[in-house]
Amino acid sequence: MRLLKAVLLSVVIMTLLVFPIEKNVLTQPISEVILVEQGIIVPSSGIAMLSSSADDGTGYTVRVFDPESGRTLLERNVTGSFRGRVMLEHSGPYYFSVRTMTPVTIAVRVINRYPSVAVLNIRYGLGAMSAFLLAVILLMEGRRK
Amino acid sequence: MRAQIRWELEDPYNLIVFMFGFIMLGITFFSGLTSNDTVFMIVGPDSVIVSESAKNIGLTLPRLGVEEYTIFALTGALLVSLMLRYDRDTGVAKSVYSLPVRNHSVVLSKALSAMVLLFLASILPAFLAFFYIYGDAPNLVKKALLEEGFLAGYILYWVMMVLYVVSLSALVAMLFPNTFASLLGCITLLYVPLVLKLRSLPPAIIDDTFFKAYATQFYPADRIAAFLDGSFYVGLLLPVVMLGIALILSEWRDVL
Repeated sequence: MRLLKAVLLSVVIMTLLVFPIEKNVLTQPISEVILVEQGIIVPSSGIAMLSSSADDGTGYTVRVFDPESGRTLLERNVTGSFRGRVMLEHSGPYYFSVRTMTPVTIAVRVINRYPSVAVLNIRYGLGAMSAFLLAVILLMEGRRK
Repeated sequence: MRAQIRWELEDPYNLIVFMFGFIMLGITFFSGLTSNDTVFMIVGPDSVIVSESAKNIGLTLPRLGVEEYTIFALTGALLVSLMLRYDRDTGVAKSVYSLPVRNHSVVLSKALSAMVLLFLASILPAFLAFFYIYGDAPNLVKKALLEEGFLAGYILYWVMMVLYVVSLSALVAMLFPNTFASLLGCITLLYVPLVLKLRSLPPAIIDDTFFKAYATQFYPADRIAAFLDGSFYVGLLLPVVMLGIALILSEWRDVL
């Protein structure tokens, strides 16, 4: 019984400590450069700003794909330079690609990072459930004596 | 033996160490996961991208780096030293070991309960930290854990780590004169491979073979086979031998 209480208490404390740690980290944006095709594992949701510059008349295709839902978030045939933004609605891997004849690089910056609602629900749910269970166990033990 | 294990698992000192390990490991895993953004190369149609993404999210499952291993080894050493040496120091052992049970069965049940506690204190916060970050991509996480075979290999990974730390600490605890000396000895011996950068001893070898097996092989069975193949001697055989020596020593050595 004590082991169960220790596990529950640890879960509650860890859940509480997770938020300040994450708050510190999320203020820093993620910056990556994409040459041809690349997957990026983003540890939070956010907004991805894409920008590339190429000579006028250079045509290429930019594509952002979300393997979680199997949807293409952005697919555009561009000539010249390009600026765009994509909402990354969940954490996890995303796939970025540039299809082109001449080499074009795209810079990706993930800004406005925040934990998504689904993740927050998991944290609040698990934390609250453990706290509630712990409280019930303590109450029952207190009553017996 | 069952009563002994139950008694050790309920011991408040052990549980305080357990909570220390759980919370510290959880925080370290979590901050390690939030601050890294992994980049990986993929070329191919969408189905290949999905399975590669699942593999790469599986490879981000929290493992023991330098910081995490320090806390993990400290927790294991504290648990085992407290269980095996503290009651001998305080004299409680006289009444425990005078019961009609063989010494080695008492030591074995203590080592087993240390393994259970350390295993729980590492795998629970690891999954908790993982789901607290990647819980909103359930399809990929499920695919990685079940179809890509990460769940079995990951549990095996922790079993090996726990087995190594606990059996080495048990051997040291049987050899050294008191709690303090055994604690220092355990931490030193567990930390030596890390300082000397010995890639052929745990934790490096278990971590490397896990990564290599999952990054290069394609089928779950091949992955687990490759993982076991690379880490069998140091990850399973060596700890079992050390635990065996500790049990033999416990029969030879007097209680105090």
